[in-house]
Amino acid sequence: MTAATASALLEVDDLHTHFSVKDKVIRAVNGISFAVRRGEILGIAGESGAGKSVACLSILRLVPHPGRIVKGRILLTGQDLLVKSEREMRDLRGQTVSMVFEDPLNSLDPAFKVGDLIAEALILHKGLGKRDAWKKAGELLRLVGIPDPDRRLDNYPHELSGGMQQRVMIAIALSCDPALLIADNPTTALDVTIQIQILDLVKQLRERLGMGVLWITHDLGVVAKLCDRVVIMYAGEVMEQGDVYAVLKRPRHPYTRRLIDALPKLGRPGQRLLPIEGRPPDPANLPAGCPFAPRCYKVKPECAERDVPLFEDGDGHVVRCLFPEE
Amino acid sequence: MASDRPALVEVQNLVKHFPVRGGLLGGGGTAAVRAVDGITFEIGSGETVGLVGESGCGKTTTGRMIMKLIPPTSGDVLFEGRSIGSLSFEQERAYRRQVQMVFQDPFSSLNPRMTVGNIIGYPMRIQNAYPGPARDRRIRELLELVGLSRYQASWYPHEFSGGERQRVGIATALALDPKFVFCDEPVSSLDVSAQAQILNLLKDIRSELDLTILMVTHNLSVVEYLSDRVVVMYLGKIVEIAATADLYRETLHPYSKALVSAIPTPDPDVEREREQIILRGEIPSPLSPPSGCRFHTRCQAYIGDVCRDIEPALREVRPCHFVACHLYPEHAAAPVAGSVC
Amino acid sequence: MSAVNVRAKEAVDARAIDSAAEQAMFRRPSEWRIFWEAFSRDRLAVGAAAVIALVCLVSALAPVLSPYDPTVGDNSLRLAPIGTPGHILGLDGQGRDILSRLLWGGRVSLIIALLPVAVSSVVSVFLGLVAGFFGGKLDMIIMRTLDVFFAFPAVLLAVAIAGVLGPGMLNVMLSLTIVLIPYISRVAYMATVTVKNELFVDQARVSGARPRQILFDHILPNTLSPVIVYGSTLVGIMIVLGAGLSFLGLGITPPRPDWGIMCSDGRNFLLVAPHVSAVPGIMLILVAMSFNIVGDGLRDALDPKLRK
Repeated sequence: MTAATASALLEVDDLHTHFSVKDKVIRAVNGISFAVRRGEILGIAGESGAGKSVACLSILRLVPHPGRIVKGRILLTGQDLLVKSEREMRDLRGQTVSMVFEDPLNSLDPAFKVGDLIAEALILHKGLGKRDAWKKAGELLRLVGIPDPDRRLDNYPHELSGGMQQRVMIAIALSCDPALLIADNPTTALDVTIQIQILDLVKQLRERLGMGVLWITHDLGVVAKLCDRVVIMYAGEVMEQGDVYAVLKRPRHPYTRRLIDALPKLGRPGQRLLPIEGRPPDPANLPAGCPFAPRCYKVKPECAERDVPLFEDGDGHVVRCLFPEE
Repeated sequence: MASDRPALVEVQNLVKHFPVRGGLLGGGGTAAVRAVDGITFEIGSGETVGLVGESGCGKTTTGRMIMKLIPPTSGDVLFEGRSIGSLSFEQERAYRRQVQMVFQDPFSSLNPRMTVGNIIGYPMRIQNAYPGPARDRRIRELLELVGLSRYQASWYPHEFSGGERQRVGIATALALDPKFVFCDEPVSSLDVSAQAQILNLLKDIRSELDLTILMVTHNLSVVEYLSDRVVVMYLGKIVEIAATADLYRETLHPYSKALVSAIPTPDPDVEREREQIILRGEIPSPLSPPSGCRFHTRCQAYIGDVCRDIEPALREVRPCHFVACHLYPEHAAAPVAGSVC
Repeated sequence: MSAVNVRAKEAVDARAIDSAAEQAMFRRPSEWRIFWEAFSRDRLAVGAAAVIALVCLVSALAPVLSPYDPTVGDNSLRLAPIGTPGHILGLDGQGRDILSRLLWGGRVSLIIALLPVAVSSVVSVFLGLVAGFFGGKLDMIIMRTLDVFFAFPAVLLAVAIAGVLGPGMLNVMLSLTIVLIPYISRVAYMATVTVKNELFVDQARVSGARPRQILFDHILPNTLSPVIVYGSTLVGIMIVLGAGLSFLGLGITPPRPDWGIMCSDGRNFLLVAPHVSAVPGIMLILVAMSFNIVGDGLRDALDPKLRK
């Protein structure tokens, strides 16, 4: 995994993040590794509870108490984030790496105008004066496709529609020209015609600014539309990883295959949906061996015996399965 | 492809305006949210009709008016040919026995203080249906019908997952043996696997029980899976009605096209091949919808002033395929859903 | 074989097997058991509940347990301290046994606290339900009227009403009941409005339930727990408030004791014989805090979503 990631913007290596609650340990992230290159959009896909959001918060070192990163390395532009002090992290957040969250209404402070919200990072990180910061804020709003941007600067977040709020969040995230943008499900609450505008915007911004993008979603359709490569997560582990085309057209992990089979496909209404039986495992009580074994249609005794390693088949397509498809 | 049985539910020129207090628009307080602004369509007996659209299109409001949860501002809903507008107490009770609903949020649609058995039994209690031991038997049958265990009747909602709770909701809707079920975004709150299970369940039981279903959703691939016909709404108006296969094969209205192209699908080939329509701008507010054709402010096929000035009527442009758009010259004179379809 | 038939066949097989073990797998404990299991997890709350139970019990049994007549004093033993032989908690300024007065006084203080909360809760739940469920003009009339009462601080209002009505146990309770109604009504109102918007209320309407049925079957049960929780906290406050009114001379008439009057009686001897005020004072704190803690415990135990 290292040769291809030598020029990686972000490299996550064997990350483990656990939450210690009373007498239990909730193992939210259990050894994930992936990399994002400059100009690349990497998707992290999986159902809710797979640990995707915790993984992102771990990268930014914003995991809420009682969570702790217990193992692993996170390299951003070559620097190890886990040895940095909190002050150094604060410098990085918003400048080198920034994040867009799922619910803009909850993430945008309703007491401040849009102009102030965007200018805050500029004043803090770039040392701009208020007037210059507001001017740049207007340019950013134009960049993210908000019509009549100068007037929108004076609006409060609640005065804007969901799609516009999300664009404002993106503008804030881009304000200091970050190298990496992390987005946690920012379009789930939006209508599809608005979602597609945002996805298109992100693709354009990637072209123009050359940033790397880490996009979390549970919608494989969004992955197909937006991402170059994808990581499929389940129970805090990477199940499959690779080029989007390869993973979605020829999924090798039974879980990925099942995820795709469970979705209604546009143009093929007669095809019966195949849901995955059972429920995802309790992260405080993970079974030994492969976490998907209890629900897997290919399960054999060896699957539950010990942890399953990752197998690479060249082209960077990686599967954690003893009996992958094909 | 349309049903050859008589219409079970007919919606005629239905309008719902929600008044907004005060001078929001600065012009004296009679502003209103024009949620549904004059729609007409029908649902044939045994059919599954999908009602699709995005925020503010009025689909949920339409369904709630059919369920008599809110009264229309004007217009009518007919059930089996008779208006549901002014019903006596007994008539309304009888109507409710035949017309039931599945709700969107499985975490809000079950009373957390009642056992699941009591929840399913509640409609029967209200309507005095299945008295005595027959009720318990029916509750168990319903639990099994939706794929749960009969012994789970004494469980509380919080002991079930989201998908299982939605099954309870479906069992409750079927308790009175209704003819018609309105499903309001039945799978939107569920994860992928639960969604598939519920869709399969609906598909299985509707033909066994000969149900007529109106399904409201914003997800066009879900609609394609379950519906016989699709009604597309935008800002309180119907823009297109067609049999499902016809709609996807030949999408006529520019908005429908944009909607179809925007649905993400996990097949990179399809994503690469299909036309990517990205609309400009935001969905306008139903407080002040655009003049003429409501879609003209974002339309990728805008012709000219006619779109801005004149509201297009819903016309049959292909057999049993109706569109409200100036792009399509008249085919037949029938202005509303004809008796043939 | 269609999917429904498959399921029906499986159901038939299940009936054939139908072992007691399988039934037992799905059986669930009763509502009370679930409540008790949840409540008993909070040991502090259980302890506080035990304290309250004990205090209520001994106060109820005051006629039996009290060693002396609480109104008769022995002047020779005035202000005798704690531990005086025969008078374990000492005597007050008029030579009356403090333990006896404590027991008899407990009856008064507890009733003054419990009854107004109970009566006021009934009235408030009714008002809150009606205002919250029907909305519109009814809502406005009821809630705005109650808002007028909110303009006055509770204690001052209680003092004012008690002052107007005059002393006496009934008047104290009436005054406290009136003061409590706006507060509990608001809790009931908020709970009603929240529940009214839940989808299961729509489900009930779609089933054909009448407003009365919806109120009783769905809204009331979901409104009761917040009111019960709030009420138990209020009892604690009323204990102190009731005692305060007595302290000010607006409460019950002497020579009947209650903890407030006992505190008041000891005012002049605080430096010489602090136990006269301190003993009833500590009792007040203990019981008030216990009600608060029980209230917290009830809140956690009654919320079905927190059960697991």
